[in-house]
Amino acid sequence: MNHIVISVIGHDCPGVVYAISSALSKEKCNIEELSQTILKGQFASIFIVSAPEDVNEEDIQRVVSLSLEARNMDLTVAARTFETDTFSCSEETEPFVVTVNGSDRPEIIAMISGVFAEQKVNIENLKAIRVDESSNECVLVFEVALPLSINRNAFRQMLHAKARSMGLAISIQHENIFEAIHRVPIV
Amino acid sequence: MLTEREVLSTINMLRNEHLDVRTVTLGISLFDCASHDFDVFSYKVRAKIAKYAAHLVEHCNEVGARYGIPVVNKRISISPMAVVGAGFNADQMVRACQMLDEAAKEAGVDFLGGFGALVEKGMTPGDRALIDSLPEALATTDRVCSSINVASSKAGINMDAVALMGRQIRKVADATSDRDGIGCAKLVVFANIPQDVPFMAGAYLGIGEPDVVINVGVSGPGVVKKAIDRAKETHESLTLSDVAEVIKSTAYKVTRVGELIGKEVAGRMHIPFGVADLSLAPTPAVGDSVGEIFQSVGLSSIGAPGSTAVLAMLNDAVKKGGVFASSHVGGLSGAFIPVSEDSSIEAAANCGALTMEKLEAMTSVCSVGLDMIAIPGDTPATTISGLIADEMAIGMINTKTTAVRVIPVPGKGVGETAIFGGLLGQAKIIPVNTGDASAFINLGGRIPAPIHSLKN
Repeated sequence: MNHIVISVIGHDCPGVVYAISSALSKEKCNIEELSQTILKGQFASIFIVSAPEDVNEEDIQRVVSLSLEARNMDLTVAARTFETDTFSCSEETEPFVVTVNGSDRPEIIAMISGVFAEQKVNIENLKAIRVDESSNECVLVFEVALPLSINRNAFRQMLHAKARSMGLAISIQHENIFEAIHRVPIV
Repeated sequence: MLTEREVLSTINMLRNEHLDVRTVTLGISLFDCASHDFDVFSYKVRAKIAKYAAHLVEHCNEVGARYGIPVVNKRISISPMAVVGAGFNADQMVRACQMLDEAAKEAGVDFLGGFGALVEKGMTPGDRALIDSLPEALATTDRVCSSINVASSKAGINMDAVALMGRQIRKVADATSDRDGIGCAKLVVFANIPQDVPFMAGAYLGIGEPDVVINVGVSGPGVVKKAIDRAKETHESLTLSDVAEVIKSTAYKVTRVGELIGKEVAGRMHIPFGVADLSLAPTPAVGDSVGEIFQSVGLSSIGAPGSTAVLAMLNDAVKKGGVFASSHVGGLSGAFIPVSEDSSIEAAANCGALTMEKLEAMTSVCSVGLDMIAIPGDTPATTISGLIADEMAIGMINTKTTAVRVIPVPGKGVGETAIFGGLLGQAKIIPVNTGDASAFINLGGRIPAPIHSLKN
């Protein structure tokens, strides 16, 4: 079995997932995991599939692209071998949520994510939200895995200093507070 | 993965709606410190408070920072001093109060409660010594609060104690006349006092409580008000059923915050978590007011006809939401209407929209009672006792907690302002009915416990 990772990105429309999955099915590929999202009418997805030995990533890219083109769907497909030795933090982490908001400008994400990169804090989920179309106010929500070895106060101060230098407001909170407030506990 | 709405709504509650944990209160039993020798007693109390409270503030701050939720006040409650120090005289009680004040300052807490007595059926010499000590004790200390329980639904009302407390409240005010009678802001008279109140001035650790325990007082009037305002904007045909649902859901959220933080502080200190007190506790800050909720529901201000109904709905909805959110709920749990501590309530009292009589009516459905009300400094002690007796009767008959914390402001009359500062706020002095209660109060004795059937 080959494990292949496929990403598909482009204009969203009904039938996109069917076009991709039916092409994979014809090649006897099994979709093991997938994640998809839509942002302002743009579809983006990532599939991890197991394929027979005689099917490689180029075959997959070709058949999925053809399947989309046959339906006049404007999406781009990329496929590559799935590597199992991907990044995983060897030490224990805690889930934190870093929320940044203020006037949008080009360097915000780079500046904040730069602190995470420097401290080896992995971003597990990131959303940038425009509060409303008429204003320039944006909100960034970083869900990060904070290693236990990182000094919480120093990390917090570093982020606050960075945000302050850009005139932004920032909150750094353990994820449990959001779960506690908004969700009935799973029992 | 969290949703945008979950994150944005939480951030909004924190930054714009004054969501916080109002108090984490460390209860410490002092029964094992009891001694006939005052110095031994004092040494043991200081050592025990220092042992358990040394890192209270630090833990609260750390946990608050972890979740981004400030723990505004860190406090200590102790076993009722009149029981623990039953053998002491009034002078020794004053020294005990001063010793507790020093211990509170050393621990870095803003208030310590429990310098009190339980006298609903009668008084021991220790109870009497403590009550006699109150004027000097409260005038010479900053952070110690006192609560005296003079009535209960099971025991009735101890009218001798009610008469005595009327006199003592005047003396406490006079002893702190240079600060507008602030001593009375630290003294509250109760019916049916709960054993696990984390809020001041009523906090104490009851005799059935653990050796040490963490109780938490949540907050959130600002969050409730904004949630109602949002519901009004988004629902075209909003009814009071919808408003009650909004309050209930919001109380759930606020209580979950308190429970999470209280349990984590307790865990870090290796002591048990007691209860979350669901009270909506205001502060003088604009946007952190119980009074503003009344305006959001459509009244011109708190005090207008309809106020008692709004308060009943608010109190009940808060309890319904909070009970589901916390495994252990206790304390006062309801809505507070402290006049000087709530800018909107203070404004209503100031312009005459909210009177003493309406406040009393509202206390029949809220969690506490006549709270932080500035009254003329020359109000007779028997009139204060009359106010207390009325309030105790409401608590006794309705099997609920009620209390009186009034401040007869020395040298000042109706319309003048008393300034207490900080969380205690400020208040214009409001009129008290000038009818004479002296002959009634001077009768003394006890009002018998009420019948608990034939409810009408």
